[in-house]
Amino acid sequence: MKPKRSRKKNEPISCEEDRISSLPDPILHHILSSIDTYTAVRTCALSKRWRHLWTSLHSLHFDSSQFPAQDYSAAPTFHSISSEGLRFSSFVNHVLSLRDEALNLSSFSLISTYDDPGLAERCICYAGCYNVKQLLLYIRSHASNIVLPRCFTNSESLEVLTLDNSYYSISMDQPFCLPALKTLRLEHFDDDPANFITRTVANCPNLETLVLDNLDLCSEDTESQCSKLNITGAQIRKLELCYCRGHNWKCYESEVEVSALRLTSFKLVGSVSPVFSMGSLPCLEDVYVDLCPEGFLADEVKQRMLLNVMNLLGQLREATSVTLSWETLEFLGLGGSSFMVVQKFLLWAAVWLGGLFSANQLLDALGLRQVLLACLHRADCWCYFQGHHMVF
Amino acid sequence: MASAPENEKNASAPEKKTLTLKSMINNEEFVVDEHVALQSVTIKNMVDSDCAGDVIPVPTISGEILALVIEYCKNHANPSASEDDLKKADAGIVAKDIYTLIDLVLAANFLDIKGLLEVTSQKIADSIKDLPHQDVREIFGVENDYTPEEEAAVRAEHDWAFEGFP
Repeated sequence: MKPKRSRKKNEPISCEEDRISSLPDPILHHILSSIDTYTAVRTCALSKRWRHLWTSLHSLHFDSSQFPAQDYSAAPTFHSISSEGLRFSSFVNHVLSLRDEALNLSSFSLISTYDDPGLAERCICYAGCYNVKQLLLYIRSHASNIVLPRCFTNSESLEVLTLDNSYYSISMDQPFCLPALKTLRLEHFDDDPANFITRTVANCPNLETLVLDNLDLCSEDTESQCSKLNITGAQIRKLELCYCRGHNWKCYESEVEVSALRLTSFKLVGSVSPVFSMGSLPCLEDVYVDLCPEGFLADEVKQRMLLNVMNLLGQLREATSVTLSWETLEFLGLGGSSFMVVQKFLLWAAVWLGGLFSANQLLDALGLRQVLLACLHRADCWCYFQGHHMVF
Repeated sequence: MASAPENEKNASAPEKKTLTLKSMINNEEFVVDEHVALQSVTIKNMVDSDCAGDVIPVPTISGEILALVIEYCKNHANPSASEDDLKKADAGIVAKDIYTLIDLVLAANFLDIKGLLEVTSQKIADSIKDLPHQDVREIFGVENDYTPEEEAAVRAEHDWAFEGFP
């Protein structure tokens, strides 16, 4: 296609000058760093002004889904790379070798469903060498575990790290030691990661936010038992533990000890029977609990879980605001008379509203969760929440 | 819960300081609370080094744009605003035509307001994304000063990024 040399003049908001190209370089670098690197590189063909701008990107975002496999019938086996995978690797390698080597990186993300551990390692090394502050890795490697290089696991610049281990790509032998890290998000860490997580958190003294999503602390050999998770950090303010949930998922007891004096926000989600050590959750502001035991539960397991959840709620008595999901309430309700109270209250509220709402919608709409907790209190639950009493 | 912001207002009312920002393009003046204006690192530096008089002149930024910047700063100075509220408010501020966005990104850069620079850059970037180059040139008024031969050469040199691209 031949480029047109003359511009259309009939644009409604026509601007005589080329305003965007006259922006100073740092702003254009900022704009180009806000999009995926594939699009950013191609702006070099817009005009001479844009020819070299991309080489000064301070953020790189590579996503293999922009190089989709075109022929699924000829899908490669796990140990070979498709031609699209090779194109993706070639693209990434070109960018890494042509980018201005005097500039540090502020953010780097690699999302790759192509099985190329060499590329992943090169990217991680590159990001480490250029003192990256934010790193996101979602990589697949069937051939072998990727051993993250030392320039990364001991990085002094990294502040935000997101790792997704869906493909068991990341070796958990060596814990990370990241002194500047403030936010750590680990997704799909399973097969007994408790030791790795415990040691990594202890090695990151400035950690403020810890999110463990799709967590499975069980090891593959012992189905019903799992190692204790220890979360220790003087600066941790926000903690989210989201255990795996879904059909056919098992529900197991998970021991957790938290020593984080500054913790204010706490979220616990998933199919798990939580056992928190005494004093783990002292003075929180904001708590969200959504527990849903899934799969078959023997009576004994159910009784123990009930006790565990009650203990947990007992620990939260100083919290400013506690939100319990309907599933959690339902589960608690099965153990005693409180379920009837909650139901009665909901019925009353539903009639009052004159509409059909699901329990969750209703609770959200009315902001009634705290009142419900007061109901639980009336029904002789062990937990006590200040200031919310409701008389029927 | 509802009475908390009231209390705060009353507590800080007696010592509330304001600054006046004046657009040097059309001489429009804006009176803003100091803590709102101090989100601009540029203004903060002026105030900290006692360079700021009663009226702070803001060169190269029109009143219209300055109003948007102040709206952004007010939203983000509100301690009771939730993350969702802020996201919605930001989306409203950057839902503007491309030339306003360019003015806004320049203003955010000059006043050194990191968050505003991020959201405006992202908005501009989003409008480049997924478009053929001819459309990008038309939307932004980018003058293509390559000859057809030069453009073909640049694409050939970067063929690893242009496969299948129109």
